[in-house]
Amino acid sequence: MKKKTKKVDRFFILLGQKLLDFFQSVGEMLLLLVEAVLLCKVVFRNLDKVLPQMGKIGADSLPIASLTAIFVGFVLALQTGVALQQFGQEEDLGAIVSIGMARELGPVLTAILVIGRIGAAITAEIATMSVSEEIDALRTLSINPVRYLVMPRFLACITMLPVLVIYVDFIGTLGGAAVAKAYFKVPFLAYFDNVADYLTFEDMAKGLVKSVVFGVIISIVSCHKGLTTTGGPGEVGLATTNSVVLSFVSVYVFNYFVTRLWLE
Amino acid sequence: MGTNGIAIDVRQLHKWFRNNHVLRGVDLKIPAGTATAIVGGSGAGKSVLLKHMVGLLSPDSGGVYIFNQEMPNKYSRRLEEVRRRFAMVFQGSALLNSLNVGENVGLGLVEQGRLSREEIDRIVREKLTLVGLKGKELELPGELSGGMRKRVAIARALAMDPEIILFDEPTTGLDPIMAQNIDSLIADLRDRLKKTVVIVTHDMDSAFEIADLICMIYEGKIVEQGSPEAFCRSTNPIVEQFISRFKRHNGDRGQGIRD
Ligand SMILES: Nc1ncnc2c1ncn2[C@@H]1O[C@H](COP(=O)(O)OP(=O)(O)O)[C@@H](O)[C@H]1O
Ligand SMILES: [Mg+2]
Repeated sequence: MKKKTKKVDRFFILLGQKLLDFFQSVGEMLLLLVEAVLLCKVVFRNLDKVLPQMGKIGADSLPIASLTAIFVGFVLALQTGVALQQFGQEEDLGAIVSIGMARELGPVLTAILVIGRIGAAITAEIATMSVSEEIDALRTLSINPVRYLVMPRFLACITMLPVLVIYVDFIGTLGGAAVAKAYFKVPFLAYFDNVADYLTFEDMAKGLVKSVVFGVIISIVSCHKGLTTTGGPGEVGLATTNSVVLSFVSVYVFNYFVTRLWLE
Repeated sequence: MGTNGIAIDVRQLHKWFRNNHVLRGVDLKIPAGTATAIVGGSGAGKSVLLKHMVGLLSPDSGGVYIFNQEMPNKYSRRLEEVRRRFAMVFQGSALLNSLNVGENVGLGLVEQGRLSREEIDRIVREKLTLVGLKGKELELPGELSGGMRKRVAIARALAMDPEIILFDEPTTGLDPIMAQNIDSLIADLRDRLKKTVVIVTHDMDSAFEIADLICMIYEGKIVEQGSPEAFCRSTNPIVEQFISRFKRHNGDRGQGIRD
C-alpha cells in the first residue's frame, strides 16, 4: 500500500512539473513575442538580416507550395465537381474552389508547409547555436540574440506567409480551373466569372489575417524552442520535433476558434 | 598585484541545475590587472562559474560583484553595459558557422555600429595576425581545425578591447607549440595591456606559467587558492593529487616555477 502511494505521489509531482514547465514556456513565448515586436523599431538598421530571411522563406517554400496548391486545386475541383454534376451545377466550381482556398485551405496548407520547411529549420539552426554556446557568445559580444536572430525571422514569417497564401490561393484556383475544363467542360471564362461573382474581399482578407497570426505562432514557437535547447547536439533533433508538433497544434487550435468566432 | 582593487568578487555562490547542486558556496576574489587560473577536474563546475562572471547564468543564491557593483540580472538593461567590459573565449570556440573568420572576429564591432568599415577591417586584420592567422579572413569556421577555431575565438574576444577577458580552456586541444604561443599571448595581455585575465584550465603547465593566482575548485567549492608557489606546496590532498602528475613530469620544483 505504501509503495502505491509513493507511485501516485510521483505521478502528481511529475504532472505538476510538466504543467509548470508548460506555463513557463507559454510565458516565455509571450515575452519573446513582445520583445520581438518592440525590436521591430530597429528594423531598418537590420535589413541585412531581415531581407535574406524573407528571401529564404520564399525560395525554400515556393516549390512545395506550388505543388501542393495545384494538386489540392485539382482534387477539390474533382470531388466537388462530381457532386455538383448530379445537379447540373458545374459552373459553380469556380466559387467553391476559390472560396475554399481563400478561407481555409490556403492559410492552413501554407502554415503546414512553412512549419515543416521553415519552422523546423529555424529551430534546428538556433538549437544548434544554443548547444554550441553561440548564443552565449552573441550575448558576451553585447549582441541581443532576439534582435540578431528572432526579430528577422519573426518579420520574415509574418510578411511572407500572407504572400505565400495569396500565391497558393491563386495556384489552387488555377488548378481547379484546369480540372473544371478538362472533366466538366466548364470554360475558363465561365469559371473565373463565377469566381469573381462569389469570392469576396472579406474571404481573402480573413484568410490573410489568419496567415499573419500563423506567421507569429510559427516564428515564435520555433525560435523559442531553439533558444531554450540545452545539453548536447542530440537535443537538437528532439527540440525540432517538439517545435513542429507544438506549432501544428497551436495553428489548428487557433484556426478552429477564430473560424468559429467569425461565423457567429 | 591588485593595485586597482578587485575586478570580480564572487560571494557564497550557489547554483543548482534541477537536482544537481553544481556550485556550493564559491567565494573568490579576482584582483584587477592580474591573471587568475581556475583549475579542477572536468564537471567540477568551472565553466558554470565562468558563466556567472559574465551574467550568462544567474546565481540561485549568493552574488557576483564587478568592481563592487552587483551583476545586474538578465532582464536588466544595465547588463549589456557591464558586459561591454568583458570578453569570453568559450570552451568550444562558439564561432558562428554561417559567418567567415573575418566576419566572426568583427561581429561585435559591426553590430555595435560605432566604427567605420575600414577601421573594423583593420582591427580584424590586426587581431588575426596576433593569433597567427593572418590572411585567413575568408575561410569558414567549418574548414578550420579545432586549434585554429580557438585562436579565431581569441581574436574575436580581443577585437572588443575588453577590460576583463575570460578564457575557458584556451589551450585544450592545441599542440604544445601553439599552446605556448597562446600562453604568452595571455601573459602579454596582462603585462602590457594591464587586462584582468581569468583562465579555466586543465593544463597545469600553463596555469603555473601565466597565473598570479591559482584556485582549485572541487565539489562546488574553492578548496585552495594562492600564488603558484604556494599552490605547489599545498598540503591539501586533493590539490596534491591534482598536481602530482605535473610534479612528476617537471621534477619537484616547489620554488621558482616562473623562471
Ligand atoms: N546549462 C546546464 N544545464 C544543466 N546542467 C548543466 C548546465 N551546464 C552545466 N551543467 C552541469 O554542471 C556541471 C558542471 O559543468 P561544467 O561547469 O561545464 O564543468 P567543467 O568544470 O568541466 O567546465 C556538470 O555536471 C554539468 O552537467
Ligand atoms: Mg568546462
